[in-house]
Amino acid sequence: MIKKIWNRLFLEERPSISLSLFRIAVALTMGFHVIPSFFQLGENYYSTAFKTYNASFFPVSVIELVQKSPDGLVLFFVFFFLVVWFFFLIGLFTQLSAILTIVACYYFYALNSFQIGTLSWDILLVTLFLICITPYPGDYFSLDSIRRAEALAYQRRRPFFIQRLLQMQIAFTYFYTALYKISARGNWLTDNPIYYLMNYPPMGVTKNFLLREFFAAHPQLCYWTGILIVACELSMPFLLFYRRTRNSAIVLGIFFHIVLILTFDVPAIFFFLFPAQLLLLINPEEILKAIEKRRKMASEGVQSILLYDGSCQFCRRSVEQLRVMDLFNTLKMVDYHIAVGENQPLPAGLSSEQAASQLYLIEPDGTVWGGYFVFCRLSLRLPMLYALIPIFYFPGSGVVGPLVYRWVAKNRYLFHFNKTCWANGCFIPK
Amino acid sequence: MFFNVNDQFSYAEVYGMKDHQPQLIDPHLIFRTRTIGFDNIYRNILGEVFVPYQEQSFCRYLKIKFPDFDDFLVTAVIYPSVTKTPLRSGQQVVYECR
Repeated sequence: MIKKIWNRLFLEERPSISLSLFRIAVALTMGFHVIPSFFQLGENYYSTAFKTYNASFFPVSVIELVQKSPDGLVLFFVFFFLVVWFFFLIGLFTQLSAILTIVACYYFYALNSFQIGTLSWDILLVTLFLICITPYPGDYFSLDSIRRAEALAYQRRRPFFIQRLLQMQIAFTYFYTALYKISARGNWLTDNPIYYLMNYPPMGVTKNFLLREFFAAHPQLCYWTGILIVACELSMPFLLFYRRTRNSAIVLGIFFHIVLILTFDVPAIFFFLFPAQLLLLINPEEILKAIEKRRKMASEGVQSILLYDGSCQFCRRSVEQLRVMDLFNTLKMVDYHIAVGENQPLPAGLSSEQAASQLYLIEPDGTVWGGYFVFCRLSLRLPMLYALIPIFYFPGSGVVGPLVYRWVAKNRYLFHFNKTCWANGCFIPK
Repeated sequence: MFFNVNDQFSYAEVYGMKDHQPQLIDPHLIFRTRTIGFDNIYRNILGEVFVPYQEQSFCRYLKIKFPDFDDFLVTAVIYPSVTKTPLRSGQQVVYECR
């Protein structure tokens, strides 16, 4: 019986797609927290910096060793962090890059905890540790998944224990935070912390939000708001793990973090990481079901046609990768050689010569996009390309992009893995 | 976070001394790191310099950072009660950097 429950809670295989998306949230939070400190290396990490050390976390010998770092080594670690963090963000060698990111994070934390060392930072490091112990977070929404070119990568199933541990982490973070507020060191039951915070002078941690003066004038309201917050935090594990209250608890948690960032100068980790972590409570089976439903609807309706050159290995590989990225199955890939071979007319009245010259996207309404502009349109449609929208639509990219595309298209046979194809040897016009 | 908040509030103000005249130094010039979504100065990170063993280290930092000043005064601005006497505050020198 216990074994059965244990298996269901931790070892049962479920889709890893949520974990993959959460990886991006972790990476962005990490970047938002650490990278700003690199803009002032002299103040934060070089020998001229003002430093504080977290001796309750690191052994003194580790702190002493790290303090011996010359400025050149610090600079090396800055570049090292930026590279491995970026790899982790885009999901390239995901597990390795996650491990190396955590190494770099601990290095900077040991070097100087003054700017980056906060309670939420400690929580983030635990989260990153959970993320780096398996390769699951790289299963989808990653370059690794594109490199593997498995069309159904989004369906990949993995033992659920990592996601379960992350769920427990967020639920019990609320619980213990509340416990700390009402136990020996906290004063939320015996005093009125929110009332004091609302009355802090301008140099204090409270932002000048709309209702601040109202709260500052109503101590009873502040007290009972505090009690309500503590009660919610204490009940969060129950609310989050009980199926009927789960969705409301997720909304409540996200609302709490939005209010927190609007009212107090608290580390933005609370805002960037915790709402995403709350979303891990949504059953990935339900997410997969919703994706499959949308894919079915798309395949039954009219899909856009992606017309490509199937004799070009590079193009075929690119199309396979686009298929991985096409989460909602909005594209129908058509090799124009096959259509020509079967004496079928090419879509939108395109000729073989045109189809051979570049990639074409024919939308359901008949609009035709060619070459570089295919990727511009796809960036609006494929979730894994959303991050490239600012690049594809950056002013001037409409001029430079087609030039780059034309060069790649013209030399695409040189990108063959098989060198015999370099002289278009594999291209047999039909 | 905010586990124990009481009615008293204090923060650090640093003055640079030039020709025996004190000049208040903007805390955002002392620590210029700009964080995303919040302000570390308002989170009172400057309060860390009150820790006794940080005195030497902070003085050294100030001298490197602001070489134009002769000396520095690190002071604490204290509000005895933010609710009962919100406009009353006192200031005392915690240490001097010579």
